[in-house]
Amino acid sequence: MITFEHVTYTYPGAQRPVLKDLNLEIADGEFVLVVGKSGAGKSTLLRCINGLVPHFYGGTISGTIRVQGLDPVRCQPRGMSTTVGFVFQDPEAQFVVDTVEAELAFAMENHALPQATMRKRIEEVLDQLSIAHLRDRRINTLSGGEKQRVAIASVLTLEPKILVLDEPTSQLDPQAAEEVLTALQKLNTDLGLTIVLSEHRLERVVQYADRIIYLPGEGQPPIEGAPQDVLPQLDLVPPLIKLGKALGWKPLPLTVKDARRKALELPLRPAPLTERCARSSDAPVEILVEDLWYAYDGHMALKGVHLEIRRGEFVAIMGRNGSGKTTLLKHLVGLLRPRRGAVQVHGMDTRRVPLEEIISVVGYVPQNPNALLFAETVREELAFTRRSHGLPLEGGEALLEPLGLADYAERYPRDLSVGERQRVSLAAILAAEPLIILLDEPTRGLDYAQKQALMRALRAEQSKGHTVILATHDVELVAASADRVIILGDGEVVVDGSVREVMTHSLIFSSQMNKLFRDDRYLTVEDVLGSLS
Amino acid sequence: MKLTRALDRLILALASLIGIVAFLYPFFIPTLPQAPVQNAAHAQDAPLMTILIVVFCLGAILATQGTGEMNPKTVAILGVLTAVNAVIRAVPGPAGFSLVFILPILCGYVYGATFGFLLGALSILASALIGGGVGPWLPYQMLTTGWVGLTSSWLPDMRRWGKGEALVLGFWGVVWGFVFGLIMNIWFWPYVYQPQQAQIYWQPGMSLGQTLRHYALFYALTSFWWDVGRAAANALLTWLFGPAILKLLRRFQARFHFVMLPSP
Amino acid sequence: MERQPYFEYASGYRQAEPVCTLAWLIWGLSAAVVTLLIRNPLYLAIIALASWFVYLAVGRGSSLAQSWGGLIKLGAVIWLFAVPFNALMLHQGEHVLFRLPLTWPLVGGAITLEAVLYGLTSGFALWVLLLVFSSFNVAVDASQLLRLLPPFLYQAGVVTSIALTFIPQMLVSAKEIREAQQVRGHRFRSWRDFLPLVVPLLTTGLERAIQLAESMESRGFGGQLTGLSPRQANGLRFAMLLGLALLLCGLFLRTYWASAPLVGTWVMIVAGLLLGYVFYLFGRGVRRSHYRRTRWSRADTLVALASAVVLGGVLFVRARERLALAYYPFPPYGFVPAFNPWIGSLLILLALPGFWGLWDQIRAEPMLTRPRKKDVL
Repeated sequence: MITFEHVTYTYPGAQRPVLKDLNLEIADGEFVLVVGKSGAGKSTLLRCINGLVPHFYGGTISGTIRVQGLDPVRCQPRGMSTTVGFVFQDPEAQFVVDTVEAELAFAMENHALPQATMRKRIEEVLDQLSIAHLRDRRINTLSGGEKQRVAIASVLTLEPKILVLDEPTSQLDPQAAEEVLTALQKLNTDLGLTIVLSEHRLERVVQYADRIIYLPGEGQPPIEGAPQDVLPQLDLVPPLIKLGKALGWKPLPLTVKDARRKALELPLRPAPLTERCARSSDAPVEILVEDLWYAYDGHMALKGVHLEIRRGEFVAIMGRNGSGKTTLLKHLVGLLRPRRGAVQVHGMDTRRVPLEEIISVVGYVPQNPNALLFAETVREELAFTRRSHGLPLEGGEALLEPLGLADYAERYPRDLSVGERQRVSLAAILAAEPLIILLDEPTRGLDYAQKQALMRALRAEQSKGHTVILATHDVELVAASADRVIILGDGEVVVDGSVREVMTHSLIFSSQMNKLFRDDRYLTVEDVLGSLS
Repeated sequence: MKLTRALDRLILALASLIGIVAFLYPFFIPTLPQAPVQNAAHAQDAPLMTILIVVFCLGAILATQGTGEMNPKTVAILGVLTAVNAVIRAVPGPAGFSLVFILPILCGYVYGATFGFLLGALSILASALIGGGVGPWLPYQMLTTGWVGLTSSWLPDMRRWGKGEALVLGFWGVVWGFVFGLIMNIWFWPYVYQPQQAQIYWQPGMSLGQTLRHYALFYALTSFWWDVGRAAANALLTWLFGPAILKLLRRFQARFHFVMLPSP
Repeated sequence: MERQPYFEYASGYRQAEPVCTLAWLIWGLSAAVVTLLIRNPLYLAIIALASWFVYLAVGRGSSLAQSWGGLIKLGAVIWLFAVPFNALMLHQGEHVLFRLPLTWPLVGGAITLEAVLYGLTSGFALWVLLLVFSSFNVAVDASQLLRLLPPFLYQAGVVTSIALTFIPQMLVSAKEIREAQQVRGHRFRSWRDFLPLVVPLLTTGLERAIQLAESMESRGFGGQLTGLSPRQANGLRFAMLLGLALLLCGLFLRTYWASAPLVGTWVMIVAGLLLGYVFYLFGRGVRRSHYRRTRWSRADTLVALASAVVLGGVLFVRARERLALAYYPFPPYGFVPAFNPWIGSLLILLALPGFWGLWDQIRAEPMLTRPRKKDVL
């Protein structure tokens, strides 16, 4: 049982409290989802449960918190570690030792448990999370999903009653996220662990939750209750919920299965197929990929890829992890040269033309914005790019406005939230005024509002006549913005067509609306609402 | 508490002194007014003995410095910076070009003596372990690089000097570049030259000066140019990167309030 | 039918090892100390062959195999340097090869055969030492070695462990950053241009360190250190100071008291034992348990025993008869080094781990292969 009574917390040096007079109660065995915009206080709330706030961060706290009868402020995280297990967002930064088994033993060694107990608990935990086959592996060779499961296992060895997770799947692809969430659900139903989870991508997890706690931010009181009750009160929700809200369905369906019956009863007027943007076949070919083969580390990453992308298209490249999306993007910007075949970008053959010339027309936004940002202010980041390209420094400022970063010009980029950093790195690349923009997984860790802002910016680029190519797992995003989808599988192009065709005929790469209606006229909520008679 | 602190300081001083004596030991052997047989025996035992002595000194320092006050923040930051330093050490360059001092100097200067010592010593250990470079020189290198970090904390706070700060730190790096080379060559000096071996040609009490001259020649021939390279690299990179790195280190310390280990 | 996986026999390591790390450490220490005590080229040659055999049998499959050559080459270079240096500096001996004019500063004088031989054997001693270390490096696994660190060095052990865990991801980060900056238009030409690589690398590292610290704290790390009371802790520190002071005294006594050299040696030994005991007590104060997954097998006992016997034997010979292990080409001793077949066969025991490795390779199923490192993509 977790109770918060009149809890107020202010970070050191902050003007306003993050949590103000918060009252909350979480019963044993519940699966609770904590949602809210970035900066609303989700992380702070979670860290109060095990005492990291205030002991790790300083600041001032008032009010009473009780977790299983213990006071985290008095017990400190060390004292709470056998009651509350905490898993963090970045799978790279939770491990002290390099092998799985030794890492599992770490927490227990801290508590000076005897050898026999450690052996027993390690065996149990390996089975609980189905990672017994990973026992002797080195952690840096594991995938993201496996790493997070090892992280969960390593806190479970102390047999806590409560598991708190701060956006554990935001850095993972959908498959890995699925693995982690199913494991959590199993822990909740089989072992009765209380699970408190914060997550942006509600569609992955909303069906498992018993309760949702929504933090509006700005110190306002939280809204909590069953998912069906809380979700209608939120602005930014998955498409299915949005549809349910708009149509007033009660009870609110959380999964496609729940919604199917109601969907079939909808009076939908068959509307003419509207292409979101007429694929003008007279636009010049910007990118031509012919029979591209590429291998690294003895592994054939791309096998005979053929592609033709015209100017002004918005293309999404999708596929499983390891199917070659990033490799393909790197070929398009000239970072990698084809082993066999050719890549022509804006009339330049990447095998012959030096990197400097290619990047004068192609901008590549990498997966991790932290790899780009190093300057003292946002303004300087833009200036750096412009200087490197030999462009005058003045033009860069204009970029900040459409991306919603006008107020951040003097801020230190690394202090900003994930979504803002993503937009700053986009601005830094756009500062060079490229004609072709490549983005690699730009939506990791972004909430719905930030994703929409990003998409607006990209559509603005497209309207200027630039070509946008996006490698992503985010199906809803693709459904809402892209014209064309290319699906890669094991290094080959499996499907290449308009977004409606591809999504309707695909089981996995399909938006929620599409899965619901199985009709290529309905990709987004707008499509459905627009077709109601 | 205060007594413990004082004792730790004393242990550090004494262990460092013994370490220095151990380093300089090979120079004293030829000066001994003894029969060659004993001298030869001393000389042959010297490498083993000095390694053992240095290992004990290192153990004493690592066991006592800051052990009571380490918290997860310091350990984690130390660990990650050690990793970065070990990576930096692997950056190839012309002869002797070793960047492994920049972080110990900068971190010792900002975060204090204990942090600097541990960063220096453990990054050598980490890069040796991961690169398969465990060897008889390891204790010497650990101790010396530790001293680099430690002594850097003795420099006054030069924040207000602006660019001057990086310049001074750069020169400090030059000094240490040469001293490090001088010390490091000692570990294989005994294998190369043992003038007291010959019985009948032994002269009583060969002067220290003569030994040092031989060593100077040895140093000039072997590693002087390496050390010019090392010193130059350290200076250059401290000037270039110092300001940005110092700003970063200070910003982090301010933001995350991690306690600086009390410096001995 | 399920084949018995190889790693079950070798006590569950991710890399099948015929001999566990502690046994390797004992072997390595014994071989290194023995090499440091011996200057006789014939015995050194036996040690060299034994180490090389161990490398061939065990180390070839290791990921560090390519670093094996590095140390050896370094040793060879120093060796090649030592010969002329000795020959030119050391003007002692009877068999003069040629003479340089005495007016030349340091090299003037007789260049003798004895000096050349002396240079050869000194350099050889160093080279063999490096060979022993190379074989040791290749045979053991770094993180396993780290787990053998005694409890009083626990803090240093955790820091180094974190470093070893983070090095691969820092390398990956560095590559990511370099590519990202390159594609942004930045060209890495001069040293100044590496700033956009170093700063994000450090920043990312520090940010990850903070999350790691949170994770460690949430799992109960920290504050469990000394179960010692302040008085006990201070008492131990006093004892340590005493031990260090004794060490220093012993060193000076040994060096300068010509008539009774053993006194100094014994003082140093006492100091060493005292310090060792203090370290042990410090370790006892650390409130932490140690998870052990290794099973000590028969192979390990044999290797440890053999190594101990070799070390003990060599120390015994040294105490009895100093000159048996040394090499003096200068008169009145001759050129030819002495050779005692008992000592020689004792030293051959150092090759035992190699035998065990070979034996395992011959009779067992294929070793558990190391999984391939996944790339960032």
